[in-house]
Amino acid sequence: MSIRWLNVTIDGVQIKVPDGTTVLLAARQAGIRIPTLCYHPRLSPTGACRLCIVEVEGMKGFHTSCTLPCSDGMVVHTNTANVRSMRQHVLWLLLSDYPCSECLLCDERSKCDFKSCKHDVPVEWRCCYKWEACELRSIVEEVGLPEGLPKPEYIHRGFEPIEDEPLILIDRNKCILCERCIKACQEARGIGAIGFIFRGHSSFAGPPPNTRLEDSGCRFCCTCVEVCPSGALLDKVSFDDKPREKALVPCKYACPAGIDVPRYVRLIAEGKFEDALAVNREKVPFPRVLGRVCMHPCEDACRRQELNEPIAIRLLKRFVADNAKPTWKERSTFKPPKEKRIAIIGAGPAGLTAAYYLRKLGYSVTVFDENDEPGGMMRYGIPHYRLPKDVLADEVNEILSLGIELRTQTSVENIDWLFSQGFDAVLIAIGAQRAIKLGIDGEEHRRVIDGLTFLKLLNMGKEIAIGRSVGVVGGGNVAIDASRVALRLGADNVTILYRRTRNEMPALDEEVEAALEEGVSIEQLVAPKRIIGDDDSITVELIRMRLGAPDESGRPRPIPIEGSEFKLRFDTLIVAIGQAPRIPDGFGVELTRRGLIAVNGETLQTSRDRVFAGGDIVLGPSSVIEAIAHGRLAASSIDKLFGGDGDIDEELTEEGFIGKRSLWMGRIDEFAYLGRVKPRKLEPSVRRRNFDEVELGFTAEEAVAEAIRCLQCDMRFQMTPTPIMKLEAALRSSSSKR
Amino acid sequence: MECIDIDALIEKHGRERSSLIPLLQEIQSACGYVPSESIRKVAKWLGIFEVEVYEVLTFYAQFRLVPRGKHTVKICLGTACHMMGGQDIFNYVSQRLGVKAGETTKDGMFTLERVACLGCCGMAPVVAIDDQVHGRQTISSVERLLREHMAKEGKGEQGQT
Repeated sequence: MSIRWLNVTIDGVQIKVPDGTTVLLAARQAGIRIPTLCYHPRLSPTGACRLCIVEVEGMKGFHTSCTLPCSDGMVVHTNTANVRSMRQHVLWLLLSDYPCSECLLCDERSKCDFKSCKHDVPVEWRCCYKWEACELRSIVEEVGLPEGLPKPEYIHRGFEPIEDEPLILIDRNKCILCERCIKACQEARGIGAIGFIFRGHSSFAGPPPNTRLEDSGCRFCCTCVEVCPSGALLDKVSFDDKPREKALVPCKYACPAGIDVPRYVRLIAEGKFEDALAVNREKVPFPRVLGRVCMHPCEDACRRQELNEPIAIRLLKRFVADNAKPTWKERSTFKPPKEKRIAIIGAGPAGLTAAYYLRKLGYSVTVFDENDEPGGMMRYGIPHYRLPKDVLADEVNEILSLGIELRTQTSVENIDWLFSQGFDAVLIAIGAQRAIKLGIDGEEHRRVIDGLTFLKLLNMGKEIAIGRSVGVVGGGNVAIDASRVALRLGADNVTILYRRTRNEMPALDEEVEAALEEGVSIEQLVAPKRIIGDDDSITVELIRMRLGAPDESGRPRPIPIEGSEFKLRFDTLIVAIGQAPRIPDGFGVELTRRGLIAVNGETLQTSRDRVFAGGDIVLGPSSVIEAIAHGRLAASSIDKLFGGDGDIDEELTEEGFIGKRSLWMGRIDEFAYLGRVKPRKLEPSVRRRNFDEVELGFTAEEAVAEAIRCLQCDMRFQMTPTPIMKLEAALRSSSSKR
Repeated sequence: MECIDIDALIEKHGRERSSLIPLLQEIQSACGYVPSESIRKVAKWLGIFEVEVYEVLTFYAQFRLVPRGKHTVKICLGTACHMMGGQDIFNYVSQRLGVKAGETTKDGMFTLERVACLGCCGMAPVVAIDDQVHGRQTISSVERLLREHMAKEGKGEQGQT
C-alpha cells in the first residue's frame, strides 16, 4: 500500500503531507506555531480546549486543528484576526472558571514575590509552584485576552481540595477538563483509574463517585500529574532545591553507587532477570553481597511507603544476583593494557571495587591487605549467617580473576615505599578498624572484648569462650551482629545495653527484629559507668538515661538520671560503640578533625600528589554500598590523573530504559493494597544455634510478585510536556523566592 | 443480584460499545438503580474500564447509583412552577426530608427529584409522588402529602432523617 500525499496550503506555505495528518501537525511541519493546551503529542487529540482553532477556505466557522485531518488542496489560515479574537474569547471563558486567573492576568505578575499579594487574592486561588512552567500561564501570555472585555470574574466551583490521597494533591477547582490525565490513565497507560465523572459545572476528572484513588486501581505512576497543564494535579513531594527527577524518583538517587533501581525492578517484574542483573552490574561488582547486607537507602526513600510498605529492593537484587545467568559479561568491556601501576591498600569493598574498574580500564593493579583473606569488613566484620563465606569468595575471586595481584598478610605502613616500588598512584582504603573504647574503669578486664575483635576472631575460625550470659553495649549493626553471634556460640542470656531507645538505634530495623526473635533482649536507656571484674565474671554498673534535646546527629541526646545506678552480672561484655581509623604515620596525608583522611570530595584526592583515599577511612564507619561508591569514584579519578576520561559506566543491557518502552502499564485491581512479599527465613528456634544463612531469598514467583508492586515513578518522564522541562529552573527560582 | 439475572441479561447484548446504554437502562429498570456489581460485569463484557461505565452513568441524569426510595417525590421547577413558587416548595421538602436533589432518605422511604416539566403547567406549582400528580401545591399541602405517605408506611415522624 502506497502512501497518499496531500497538498495543503497553510498561511500561504505549501506543503505535502501524508494522508491522515492533522492540520496541527501539518502546520508544525511547515514551521507554523498554533497555540495548544489540551493537545499532548503522546495522546490522541481531544479538541476540548479549542485554542488550536483555524479557518479553512470553503468550510464554515472555526475548526480545531488537532482533530481536523488534512485533505488535498486544503487552504488553511491559522492566524487571521478572526481566529486570534476567537482564541482570546475562548481563553476568557476558560479563565472565568479558573481560580488562578487573578495571578495569570495580574499586572505585577512578572515581579511577584509569591509572599504578599497586593490584590488580596486568597492563597488557595493563587498560582502554584509550577509558575514558570505552567502551560496555562504560557498560553495566556501567548494568546492574550480580548480587548474591551473586563477581566473574567472567577466563579468558585466549590470543590474541596483533596490532600489525603497518597503522593498527589488534587484541586478540582483548577481542572480545565482538558482530558489529558484521563487519556494518559486510560488510553496510554491502560490503567483506567480515572475518568470524567458527572457533567457540567460539577464534572471532574477522577475515580468513580465516592471512591478513593487507592480503591480505583490507580498505580500511582503519577503520569496524570506529569501531563496536567493547570495545577489541578500536583506532586505532594517537596522539591526544595533538588532536581525534579531526584525528588520524584528518590530510590535511584538514594543509592550512593547510582544503581538504576526502577529500571531493574521493572525488568524483574517482566521476568527479565538477566537484564536486571546486568543493570546492577553496570554500577557494582558485588550484587550478591549487597543483596544480603546492603543498608538499602533506596528502600528508605521508596515512594510506595506512602501507600504501604516499600519495595523489597535488596531482596530483589539478591534474587537476580543469586539466580540470573551472567549474560552481562558478554558486554563488559576491557580497555587495552596501560603502563601505569596502581597500588591499593585494603582489600575491602572500596579497594576491590576500585581495583575492578581500574583493571577494566587497563591498569596494572596490586591490592595489599594485612589479613589472611581479602574482603575486609565483608569478610571479618559480618557473620556468616548474614553473608556466607562462599558468596563473598565468589564475587571477590571474580574480581581478582581479571588479573589483579593480591598480596595478603602485607601491612603497608609507608606510602613512599610503594612509590619506590614503582607504583604510579596509591589508593588508601584501609577502613575504620579500631574499636572505640568506653573509657570507664575496668574496661581492660579480660572478659571485656570489643565487637569488632569478637566478630573478627569468629570469622577467623577461632574458638571463643563467652560463657552463658553476655552483655553487648551499643545499638549499631556490629552490636546486633555480636549479640546474635553470642547466641550462636551458646550463650543463654544476651542483653543489648543501649543508651537511647530502640527507635534511635542505627542498626537496620530488620536486624534488630531478627535478634529479638532469636531471644536477644534489649535494655534501653542505660549506659555503663564502671566494670567490676573478678576471675570469671564481671559486674557492670549501669546508670539509667533519659532522652533530651537533639544533638548534632539529630537524635535525642541521652542524659544520665542521677542516683539511678544499678548492677548487672555477665560472663562476657562486648563493647560495640563505634569504630575509628588507625592511620600509620608513614602515610603522610592530612587528616580531618575526626582523625579521618582529608580528601577532595569530588576526586577523593588526598593532600599528597597521586595518593587517593576512599571508604570508611574517609567516611568513618559507613556501609558496603558507600564504600563501593567511593571505589568507583577513586577508579574514575585515578584514570583522569593519567589522562583517561574517567568513564567507568557501562551499558550492560539495552533493556529497561523508559525511552525504549511502550507507554502501556496495564491495570492491576487493588494495586494499592498489594503487600510486601516476606522472604522465607529459618525459624528462630532453628537458626539461633547455628551459622546457617537466616534469610532464604525470593523464589522467581515471589520476586516477580514483589517487583510488580513498584510504582515505576520514572515512567512519567516518558510523557513530560515541553513546558515542564523548564520546571527545574522554575522550582529553583521560586524556592529561592519563597 | 436479587433484582436481576445479570449474566443472562448481558449475554443478550453484543460486545460493542453501543450496547452500554441499553444494558444500563435494562439493569436500572429491573433494579431501580445500577448496582456496582453489575457495573463490573458490564465493563468486563464490553471490554472497557469500569470507570468508563461510571463516566456514562454519571453523565446522564436518568441513571442512579444508589437504590431508589420507596416513594419518589418529584418537584417541578419548570418555568410556570418556578414562577408559582416551586423553588420554595422544593427547599422546604429538601429540608424536611434532609436530602438534596437526587438523594434518598436514610430510611429508604423517599427519593427527592427536581423535574423540568410534568406537562400540566396550568396546575402550577406541581408535585408528583410516585405516579400521582398534585397541582396547586403549597408548603402545608405538601407537608400533608408527606405525612399521609409516612402514616401509610407506619413511619409517623420517622420519615425525617
